[in-house]
Amino acid sequence: MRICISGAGEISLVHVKGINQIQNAEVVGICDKYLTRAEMLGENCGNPKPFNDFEKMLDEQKPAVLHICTPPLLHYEQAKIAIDRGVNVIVEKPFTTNEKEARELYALAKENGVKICPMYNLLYDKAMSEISAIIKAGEIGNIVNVESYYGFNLGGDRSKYNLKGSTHWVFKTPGGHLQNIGPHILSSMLAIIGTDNLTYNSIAVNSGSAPEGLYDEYRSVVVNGNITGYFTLSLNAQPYFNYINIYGTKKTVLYDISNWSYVVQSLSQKVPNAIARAWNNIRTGTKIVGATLISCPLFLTGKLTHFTGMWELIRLFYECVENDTPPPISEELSISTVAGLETIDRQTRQLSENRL
Amino acid sequence: MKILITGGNGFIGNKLVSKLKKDTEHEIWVMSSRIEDADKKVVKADLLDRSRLNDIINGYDVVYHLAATGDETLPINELYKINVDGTWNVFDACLENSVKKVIYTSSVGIYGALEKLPGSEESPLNAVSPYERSKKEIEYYIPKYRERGLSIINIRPVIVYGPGSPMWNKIISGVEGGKIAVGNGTNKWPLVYISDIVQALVLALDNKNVINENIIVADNKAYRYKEIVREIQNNLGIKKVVNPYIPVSLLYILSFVNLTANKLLGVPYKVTKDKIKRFVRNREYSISKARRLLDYSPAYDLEKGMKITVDSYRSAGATKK
Repeated sequence: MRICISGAGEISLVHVKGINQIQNAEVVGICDKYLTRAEMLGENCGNPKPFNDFEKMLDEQKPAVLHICTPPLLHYEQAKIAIDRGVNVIVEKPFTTNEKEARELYALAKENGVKICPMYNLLYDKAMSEISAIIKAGEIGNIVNVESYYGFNLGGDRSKYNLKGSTHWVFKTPGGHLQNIGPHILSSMLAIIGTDNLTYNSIAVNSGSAPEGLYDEYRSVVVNGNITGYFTLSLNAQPYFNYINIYGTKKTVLYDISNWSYVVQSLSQKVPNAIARAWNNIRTGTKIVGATLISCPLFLTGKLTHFTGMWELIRLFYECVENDTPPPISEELSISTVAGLETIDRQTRQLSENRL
Repeated sequence: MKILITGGNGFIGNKLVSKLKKDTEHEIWVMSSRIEDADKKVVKADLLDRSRLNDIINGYDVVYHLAATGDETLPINELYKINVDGTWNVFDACLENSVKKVIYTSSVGIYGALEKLPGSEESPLNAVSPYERSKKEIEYYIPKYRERGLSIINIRPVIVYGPGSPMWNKIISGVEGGKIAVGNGTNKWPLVYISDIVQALVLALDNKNVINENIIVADNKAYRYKEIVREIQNNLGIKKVVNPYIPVSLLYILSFVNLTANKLLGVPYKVTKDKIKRFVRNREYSISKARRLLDYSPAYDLEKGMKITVDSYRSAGATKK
């Protein structure tokens, strides 16, 4: 399978590592604004031809799949150009920065008979895949509420996310850090609470770490029918944590995203409450220790990274292209995530205007 | 002639401004985004502000484009913005304003590890580090700008040393403190003394027949790393002849440990493989083209140049003695 990559930044290298694991996939072209960066990335995948002209790369190399890893403002345009040429596309998050563009891309993809997929890689982390299976099996009962919390460290003064007058694309993207980091956690939450009839109530503040005029703490209460969800994006709390807690009518799942571990909790009716709670603690401790013991050798050998979900998603997408099956991430989830972030951004900005 | 110098407050730029002011009648302006200097005519502009550059470059006959950053601790995007986008902006503004000549300072870093010694202008470009690659990026575009009518003399200096260089002050201080050196010290470092690179830059201005050339500027010969260390020691009056050397293989192990600590504990990854490779590279360049086209002749060898450099370091009070 012929693969092209657009954008040779940091995340592209992670894509390349995933592509390299797939036997019949070959990177045949890399395009970047800077040729030397395309060359540098190419050194990790057999030195494919570097380009600084996106359309020329597609026309010359005729890929089956294009990975779009450029700054978000280019996602829509480049995806459109590729889809028009009949190329299947994986788009880094945020898929697009508004719902209208996301819908257009899906319509265009249908018209051209190609597949598209946003890079919501958290959904394919091993733990998350197991949790999805548990939910599907009805083990936790009906879902009542999902708490999602995603933290991020903006870094020190010299961080690219914090540089005074930084030219980093995040500051030019509508929604800024919300659009950069939010897709991961919102897509994971929406995958659990569903996307049928969503409403959002959002607030945001600048608690001190964001440049003036931007926010560093976002909260939103998301409702889908009778299921509630809490969305938290925190850029200032340190050390930061990433988790999703899923509360069902039978059991609760506590998923620690950063540490790749989860526990399923329930209270046995057959024993006194105190014993059941103590037993829960013992089980939780055992599970965490066990997960750590399993993870350590995997981590040290490079088999466990924050991007194993990305590699799995890439593999599944290639598979769906080859077998002409539906993409691993549904159109509904993809569009709902874009629309949700657009809504949170709009609501928080309105709130700020009202404050003034 | 009216001349604009970007990076005119840097190590090379400062000396170039002084030389041009002292020895010529040209009207010299320095472009800077921050620094005000009473001794210089300064025009404020940022390399990344394309429209401002367009306005201010109007009316200049020659532009020296020296501004760049070698700070590889910057995120690569930021480094590329300054070195690549900044240079594109300067070149575009020069084209738009019909500047007669641009004298641009690249770097021999674009060649990376040389396949054959001595390197020449035609050696393959094997840049490795982000700084070297950013300079190599510009090399791809120079022929295109020339095709569009911009006359660019592309000077490729080797490692520049001389009084007031922050990098060399650090090296001298390291030698003085008996810091461990890397490798066995037999690899060659290509050097050029500050006055010699300035000489070449002035010759590039004066020589009307040289247009659109890429020219390496260096000393007559390259020096082994241990020769350089010994020269610094001699000038510092240090009797100990050889600093302890650490084998490169050990450094690679250290680099791996550093990388693991970086992944596990967030410790900064400073001992990178690229840095080690760059430090122990064996490099030497021919300057026959500079001699032939510019009539360039280096006036300072290591002995003469390092004496002035170390004397300046000592008189600045940086030395412990």
